[in-house]
Amino acid sequence: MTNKERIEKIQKELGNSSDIVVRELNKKISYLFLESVSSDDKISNFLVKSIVEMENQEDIFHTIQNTLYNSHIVVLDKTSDCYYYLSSGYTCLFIDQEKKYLAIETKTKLDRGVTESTSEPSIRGPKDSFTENHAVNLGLIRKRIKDPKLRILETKIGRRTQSKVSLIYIEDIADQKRVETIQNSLKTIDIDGILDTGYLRDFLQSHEKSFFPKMISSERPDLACQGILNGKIVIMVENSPYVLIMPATLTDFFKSSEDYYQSYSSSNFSRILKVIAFFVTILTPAIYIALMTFNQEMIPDQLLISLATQRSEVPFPTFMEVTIFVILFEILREADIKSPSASGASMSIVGALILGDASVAAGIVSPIVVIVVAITSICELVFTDMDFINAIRQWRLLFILSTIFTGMIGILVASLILIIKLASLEPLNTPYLIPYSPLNLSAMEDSILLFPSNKRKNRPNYLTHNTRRVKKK
Amino acid sequence: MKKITLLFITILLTGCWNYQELNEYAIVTGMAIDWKKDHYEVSFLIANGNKSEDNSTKTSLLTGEGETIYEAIKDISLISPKELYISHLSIVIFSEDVASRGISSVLDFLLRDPQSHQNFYLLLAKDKPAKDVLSILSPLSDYTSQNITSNLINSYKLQAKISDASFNLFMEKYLQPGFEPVMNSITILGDIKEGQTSDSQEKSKQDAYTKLSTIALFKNDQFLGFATEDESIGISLILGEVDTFYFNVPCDDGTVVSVSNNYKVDYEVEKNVLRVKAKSEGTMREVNCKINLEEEKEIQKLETKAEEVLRSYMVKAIQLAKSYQTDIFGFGLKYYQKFPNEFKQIKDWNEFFKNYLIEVEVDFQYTSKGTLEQSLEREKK
Repeated sequence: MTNKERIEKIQKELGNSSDIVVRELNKKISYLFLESVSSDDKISNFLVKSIVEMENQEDIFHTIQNTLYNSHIVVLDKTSDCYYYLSSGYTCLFIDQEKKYLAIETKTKLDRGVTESTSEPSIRGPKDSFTENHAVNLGLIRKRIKDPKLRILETKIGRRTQSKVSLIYIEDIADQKRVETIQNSLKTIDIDGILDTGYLRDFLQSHEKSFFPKMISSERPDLACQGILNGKIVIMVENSPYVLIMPATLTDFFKSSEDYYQSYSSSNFSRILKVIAFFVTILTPAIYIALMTFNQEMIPDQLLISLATQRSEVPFPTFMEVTIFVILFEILREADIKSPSASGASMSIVGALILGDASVAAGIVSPIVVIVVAITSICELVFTDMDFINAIRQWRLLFILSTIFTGMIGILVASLILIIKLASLEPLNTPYLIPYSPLNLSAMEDSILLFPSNKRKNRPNYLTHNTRRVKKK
Repeated sequence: MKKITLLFITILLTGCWNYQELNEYAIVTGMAIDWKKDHYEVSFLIANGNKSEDNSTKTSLLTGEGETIYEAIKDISLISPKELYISHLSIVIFSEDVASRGISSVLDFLLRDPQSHQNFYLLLAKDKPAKDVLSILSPLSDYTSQNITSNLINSYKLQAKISDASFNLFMEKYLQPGFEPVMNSITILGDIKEGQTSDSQEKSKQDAYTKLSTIALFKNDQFLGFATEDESIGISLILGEVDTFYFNVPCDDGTVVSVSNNYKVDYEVEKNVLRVKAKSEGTMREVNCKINLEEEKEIQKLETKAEEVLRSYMVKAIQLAKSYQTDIFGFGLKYYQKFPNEFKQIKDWNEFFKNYLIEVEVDFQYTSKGTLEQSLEREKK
């Protein structure tokens, strides 16, 4: 096949896209690239310049392959192979009368640099976060863990996007069975395209239905590395700044990467606060409804009288009042996240003044409901994992629903269901409530309570068989 | 998943059992029971009245009549637009008439009613209708009932004149053999009619106010009579229900006001005599005489006098109880615990109690003279 034929074939296959650039250097050599993903500089400075110098060599194909100033050169055979490389920013170099051709890396930089994490900011700890660039993301992990046993398994998923998906773990720490399970479920994925790690979520946890997330998704490289060092497996997808850390247990959502950088006492303090916040945010509206409509005898005298007077002018039943307000707040929050920062100010005016103040003054809700919803939402904000927050929101509504009918008994029943659901979850064969249920004393050193770092000598034994973190004396 | 759906369905199937919005309740915090010719007159103090302009609440007093307590309450519900809710009842006041006729039917209602939480105080209205006591507004608290309860709780801890008179304690004494209950009393000072208006609340000097008074003696469920202040102190001392209280010790030319703390009382029961052994420590709070406090002898003298004072309170109380033939001290119970067989042979304990010898021993010691070492007059020299 001559160069011309080949190039025509490719152009035809790509539908004569406007970003195809073809140039014939001389009769023998011609090249083709997509200008949208390639760097003109690299092509003209390194590629064209050096090839022109080599022009008169005899075995030009091998000379180029061996001496070109470029670290990425791929030798390709079939014409159909080139599309992936072209889209990835490679330049295809064709030489007449040669069966094979070369793809040479000439990517342009389409990514932002490493920036500070916006969704999981830290005060005391590394500020960098994952970006959309796969190589950079891998680098952020590689530079933290210089262990030769660090494994990065790469597959391409997505019929049309051909996205790179990497499994990252340390070979002698991570449980091999888990790695295989994940690999197998990745293999079964048949999908047009993966644009973010979120696409994988449902494929990886399909058989266990629960609102609670069975994997942590994070944009913090230090959190990913902490997971890897404990025997967890990190899944990274090209073009996504979020990685998945598997498997997750309930206690993981009460931890933050910063816990290990502070003194253990302050970490414990914040973890205990989070546990309190967890129960408060799930239970408060339900308990309020139960107390107001079923179990008034549980309220102290003075509070009861003040609650009764506050409610005396509200025309709606308590549960409606609470549900309306909780849902309104969720909508406000959703709107606040999605809206551009310019309209954020008007949002807070609407939220604080109209929803809070005016609705009380108008007698639509009682002031105490505003307080209840405020407490609930403040406690919700303690958590950073969006999936976990969503689980909390959904369970909160379930709790409200069951109290509407039976009061405190409903709370009890819903709590039982919650505990049963949580205890029966086993993402990747890890009990969700470990180390509390089943009780696992050796994993207690980093559960809700954190031991000082010099006392933490073991990796959690439910994640790895290689538990000893430090040498035995 | 199926099981969980089933579990949720079971919740829904219950309907709205016991569902009641809080603002549909009339929260009763006080109850007053009077006797009118041939029927009860029950008054309820409702705490959540109308909201006034400054967001404070107004209480209101609703009264109903009936031959039984329940009938009277149903009579009130004809007036009240909201369902009466007595779980948060904090005070029940009887008039003297009702109390002398016997309060067992009221006690029965209060124990039997499923809403009743039995966590309230009993009071006897001295000389005045019970209803009026609840109607006096206090400037310090918006709720009369709350005002009276906190007054009561603070007083019985710090004064011997008032005894602990919660409903539970009253019932405990009432139901036990050889134990008769007592009740605190309350009275109104000032102009009752003026005291019922909210104008009175705004004055710095109130037109009328309620004041806790002395202890009322009961036999079974019947009110017999009031004790004097000294006798009230004696009753509390023998019952051992006080911890801190004050009393006056006479000295040569004045008094030494002493505050006792760590008061403890023990009983030694024998077949024909019962010894009350009280032990206490105290501090001086006010010294009005020229006594030399640095001399050990003088202090000891004072201590003996203090013991005499305390002893005289108790003896007075015992005499009073004996004269009414009612064993408010629970000596019968103690006798029964020690000599059960003999107790069974006694037909009427209160009759026996009248002639039962009771001795009182007091041991009192000063642990501190307060912040002054001497009386002020001596300090001056």
